[in-house]
Amino acid sequence: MSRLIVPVKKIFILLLLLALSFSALWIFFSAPAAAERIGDHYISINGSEMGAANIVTAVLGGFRGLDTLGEVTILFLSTTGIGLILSMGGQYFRWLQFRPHAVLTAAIPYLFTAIVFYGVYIIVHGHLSPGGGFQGGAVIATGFMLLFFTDSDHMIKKKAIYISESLSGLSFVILGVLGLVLAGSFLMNFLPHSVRDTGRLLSAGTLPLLSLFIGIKVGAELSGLAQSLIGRKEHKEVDK
Amino acid sequence: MMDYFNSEAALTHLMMAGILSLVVIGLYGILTRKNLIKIFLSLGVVETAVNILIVALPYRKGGVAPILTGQGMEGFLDPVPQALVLTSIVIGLAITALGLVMAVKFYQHEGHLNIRKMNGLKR
Amino acid sequence: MMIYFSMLVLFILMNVTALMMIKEKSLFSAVAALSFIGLLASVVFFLLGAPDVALTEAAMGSGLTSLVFVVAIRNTRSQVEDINE
Repeated sequence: MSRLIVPVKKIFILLLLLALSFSALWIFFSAPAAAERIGDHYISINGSEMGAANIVTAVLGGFRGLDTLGEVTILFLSTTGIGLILSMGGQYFRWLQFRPHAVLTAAIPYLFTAIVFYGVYIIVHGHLSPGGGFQGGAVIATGFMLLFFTDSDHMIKKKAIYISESLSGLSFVILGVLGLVLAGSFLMNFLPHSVRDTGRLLSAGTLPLLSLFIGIKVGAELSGLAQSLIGRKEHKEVDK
Repeated sequence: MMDYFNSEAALTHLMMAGILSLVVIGLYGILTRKNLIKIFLSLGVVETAVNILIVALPYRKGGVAPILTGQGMEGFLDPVPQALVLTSIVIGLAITALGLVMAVKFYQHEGHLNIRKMNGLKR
Repeated sequence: MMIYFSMLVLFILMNVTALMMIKEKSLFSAVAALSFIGLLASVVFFLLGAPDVALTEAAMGSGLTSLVFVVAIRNTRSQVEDINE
């Protein structure tokens, strides 16, 4: 009976998907092209309000900074949820039973420094070249992930992660409120940001600071995620 | 023939077809696979396809990345969808991790990951 | 012309990899396929004039996502899809 039903079900699903894709195609090609984009407005006022060379970072940290704040909150909530679920009773996670190869153990201590420096470089130059807080934070978290792979006893203190992420989130909000007080709107750029300086490291006002805080926060959250997933310390009891 | 390949419409058609087939493949996986982890993997495919769609929609031929390089601001692409996709990728990872950790907890309680047998609320 | 054919190759590769991922029995191979799709998507983002997104996708889609999936698979003793059915 069930053998007969399953192909019928699959054919039905395929037909449904085909209908969906054709309707989606129809919607795409009948939609009128937008005459005016909000992005053009941001590009035109970037010089006077932000002075950043990389306009994506200007949108992310400045014009749409409130959205970024909400996004970082979602990230914080989901990592907190993971920590909560992992610490809920029952069995612990088994850490990866993974004997690191000699090449990995020998290379990672040097590579780790290089990867973290690359991440810091991406964060600090976020307003000049492709990059910014999210990318640099992800690169730093990848470095920490490799470190945990080679040596699963090597842990960061949970407290350090918590403190760095709460401090950076708090600083982000404080910068926003300072913009509200000093320049008239939340996350407004209140430090000097003249167009002549565009392209220098110290330019674009508060934008480098904002991307630095986003970078610290994302890096800390994702490293904490990697640590709670492959860390050994909490899982010793199950391994025997 | 060569004109068609050089035109902007050709690129749009190609990207729409590729993205739609990726979404359909991912949805097919979500609807027909039994293992919960496989369903999350298919969800990842759909997520990647939708991210490409959001970046591809404002793309114009000859557009350059919205980064000032001293050449003026001619042909800059829209930076807003790019910023949106940037946050969407990071959120996608966090949500996937949360779902997978929940799946592992489910496995530790029930001993299987078969989505056809997950009918605990029905009983 | 150039960008058209590079896009064609990239999208065909992505679709074939996605189909292989759906049909694959071994979950680890499926995770590797998803990472590969992420890498190809990163190249597509770069060609579409979004280097910022390409950087994020390269770091997230192929690095941390596969870590999360591999940890989940290791913790459910389900290297092969059929075991849990």
